[in-house]
Amino acid sequence: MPDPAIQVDHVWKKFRRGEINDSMRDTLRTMARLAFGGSARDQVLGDREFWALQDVSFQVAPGESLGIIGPNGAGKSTMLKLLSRIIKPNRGSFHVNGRLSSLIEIGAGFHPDLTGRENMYLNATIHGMTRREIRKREQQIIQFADITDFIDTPVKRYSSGMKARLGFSVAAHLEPDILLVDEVLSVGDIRFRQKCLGHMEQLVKSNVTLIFISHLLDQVRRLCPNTIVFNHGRIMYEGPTEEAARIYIDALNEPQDQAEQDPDAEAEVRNIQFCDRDGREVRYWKVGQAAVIEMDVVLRRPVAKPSLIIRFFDVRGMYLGGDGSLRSDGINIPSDPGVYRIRYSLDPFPILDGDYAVRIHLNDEAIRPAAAIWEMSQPRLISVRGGKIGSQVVDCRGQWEMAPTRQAHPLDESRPAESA
Amino acid sequence: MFIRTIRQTFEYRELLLALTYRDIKVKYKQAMLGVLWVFFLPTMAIGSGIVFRLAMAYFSNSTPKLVDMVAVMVKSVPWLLFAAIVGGSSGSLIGNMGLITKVYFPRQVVPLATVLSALFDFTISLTGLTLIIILIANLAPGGDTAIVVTWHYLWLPVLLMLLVVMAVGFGFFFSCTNLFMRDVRYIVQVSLQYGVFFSLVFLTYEEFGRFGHLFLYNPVAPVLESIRTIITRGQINADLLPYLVYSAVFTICLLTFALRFFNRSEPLFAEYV
Repeated sequence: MPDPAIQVDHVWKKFRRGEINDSMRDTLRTMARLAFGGSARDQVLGDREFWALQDVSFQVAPGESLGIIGPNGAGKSTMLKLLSRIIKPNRGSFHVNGRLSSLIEIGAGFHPDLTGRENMYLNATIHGMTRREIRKREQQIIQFADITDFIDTPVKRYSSGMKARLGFSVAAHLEPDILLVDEVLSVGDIRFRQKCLGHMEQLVKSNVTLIFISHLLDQVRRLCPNTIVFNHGRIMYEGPTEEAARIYIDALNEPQDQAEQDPDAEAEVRNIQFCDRDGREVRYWKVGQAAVIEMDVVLRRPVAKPSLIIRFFDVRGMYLGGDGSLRSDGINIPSDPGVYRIRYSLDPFPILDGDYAVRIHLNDEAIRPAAAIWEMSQPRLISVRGGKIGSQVVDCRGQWEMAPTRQAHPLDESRPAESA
Repeated sequence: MFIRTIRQTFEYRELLLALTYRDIKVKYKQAMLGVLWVFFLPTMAIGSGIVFRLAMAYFSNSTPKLVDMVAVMVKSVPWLLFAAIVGGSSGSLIGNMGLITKVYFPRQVVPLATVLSALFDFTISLTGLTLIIILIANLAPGGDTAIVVTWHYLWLPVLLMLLVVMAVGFGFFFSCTNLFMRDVRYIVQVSLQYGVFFSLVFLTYEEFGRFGHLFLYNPVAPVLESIRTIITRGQINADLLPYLVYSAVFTICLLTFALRFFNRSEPLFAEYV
């Protein structure tokens, strides 16, 4: 077996809450320690400190692409900063084999007064390219970023999209052995994002070792067969991306159940369960089958016109659709105090593979304008799996046939090629 | 430690040059004076020094001497180099925090780029200064203002080097300290502004009589005074030599300490900015 491209051994990293040094005495003490001796890398947890990474070990083979996912604050970015040597671990060690580039924030170090071209050179140099290498790829970079006309304009006059495109384009042409990517593929318009993702796929195919951090599970699925799930600074799971995504979603769903038990609330919805057609609780829905949500509506005081609203969003927060229990063929939840088990089923679930956020809230429709008397503090996430048509969100499989040949319209000839 | 720093810097020389180029370019972009900026600061410094000397001559009822004006010139320009390096480096790490928190590279490249761009400015103003001195030497030959080139002039590059290394030492130390305490930079700026009077830029140690040597404990002063005596007298004053040795020892200690401090706190930079 070849040497791993990245080998991480029992790495620990701590940070401090609040101001790092909030008194002059503190600061001077830190500085004296740095200058005269004693290790600055204390191994024990001090006052107000916490472990951002705890005992993290993993390795990445050359040419492998590994995803890293996890809730906010799980330690993903810290891990990447360690690997790119921006910060140092307090304990443990890691080894990197090969030229490593990290895209932590693209366009880092752009100077507003310099032109696009000057910044391109500067940025590429910062990432370790030589002038000769840059000169060779200059045209490619400019074309990829699609800013040929503005390349000699100062960057301060660029739109944020242009800056991001130039930054990504430089980064994309670095040709490292190992590439670390943190949430950078969310820049630019859809067209550019697709281009970036396509470029990353190319890189993966050309045997670059990739570590890819993203909250967008579909991107991770597309690029990485294996994924690590971080949670609370530890590795929670390491393995196939499908399973990792499931564990990640469970981790996101986990803390909220306790948070919502407020015994004094006038009303609440609890024991929310995602089920299949037969009422068995499931961890994900299957494409083409029924999606069933069961929950207990608890009314502690009379509510005149209780109404349950369920809404679906995709992971980027786009509203997909929803339903309310008071619709004409819905149900009337009794107004009297009590616990009512409600079932909502959508058969079949109309959306394909992906991860969705479900928000539920309880309204009192007698109050105008309708106000939520209870709502989820954070959405529940659920995945839909088993579609055989790739990563489509909506089933777009249509009918194809040969249509009768039509006489060319005179306008077709004179119309310019690009009418958009 | 020195070797490691130099080797790393050499490995990242492209970045060092790119950052230097950026510093220079940015300074002259969208500026009214453009390249004339290089001459603006020295002209102002020398001008105020000359006014100072004229006032002194007036109060002491003596005729102003050309040699004193030459002294002001040859000390102001190196002093400005020193101030540009120390002042520029102090804020350099903070000024580049966008890079430091996002990309790895040996951090000494950042203050060193400031040093190089200060040296760039210095080279241009030094050329101007040399022309002026040659002009003066030719216009007023002989007498007490005689400027005669001797083999002692070979000391000048050595003295300048000493000044630059000392400035680099201060620059490394303050750039680092400024990360921990943000006001260090302003303290440094103010110190440099008024340091002119404590570093014998306009005055000479001889003019203070018995107390003159006290000024020479400021490690910058012996270097500047040596430069002056070489140009106006053809050699370094003998009584300056012990202080010059003191300056050199100070510089070596300072640089060693500053580099050690810099290297040891380097891994913390990204956390403190």
